[in-house]
Amino acid sequence: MGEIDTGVVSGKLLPDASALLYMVSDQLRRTALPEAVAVPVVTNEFRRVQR
Amino acid sequence: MLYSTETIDEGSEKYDLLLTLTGGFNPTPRVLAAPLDAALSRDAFRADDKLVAYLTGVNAGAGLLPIRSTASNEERSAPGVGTVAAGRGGVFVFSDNLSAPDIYPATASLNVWNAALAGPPQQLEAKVIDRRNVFVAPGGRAVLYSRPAAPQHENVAGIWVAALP
Repeated sequence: MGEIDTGVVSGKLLPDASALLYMVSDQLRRTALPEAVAVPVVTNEFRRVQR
Repeated sequence: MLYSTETIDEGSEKYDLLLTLTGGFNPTPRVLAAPLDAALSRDAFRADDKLVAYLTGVNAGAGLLPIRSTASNEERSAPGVGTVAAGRGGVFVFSDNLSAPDIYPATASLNVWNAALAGPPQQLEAKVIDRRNVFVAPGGRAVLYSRPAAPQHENVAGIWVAALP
């Protein structure tokens, strides 16, 4: 496994470990695993509300 | 996934609320609540993510509880709700009918609602202690709450467990 992205604030692994959702600045991004190919899900003003 | 774009903390957090799928970029997330009007309680989604529950217009610990279908956006709602927790299927447990906050002990009523069916909520317990003391057991088959002493309960207070549908 290598670096997935830079500037990651927090992340959440899907229950089946098939993908990672993570925050960079005010973006929500997603990458499939184990390949690290990041795509934006929310491009700006993302604030997490769920614990 | 639920998220917000604007948040304020006035003792408890309030925000706008948007719903989006997380499989890829979604240029049109669904707006569930206006800016600084929404709050989340104990559970936002039922286990299979088909329904989402949140509170709006919370004042003095209670607000409107909308429960929406994530697929169709169909909404059902209940007023004056303090805390909501998800059980199995479409079942949610929530407290309402909150007592005045300056009278001890603070009490509320406890209700169960299968939001996937057409019927209204059913009252599970007329008086429980503290609107926040509502806990659904893992698996969603039972709810735990605290009940004050009362003549109809042989003046016994304590923690009670009720089965959920």
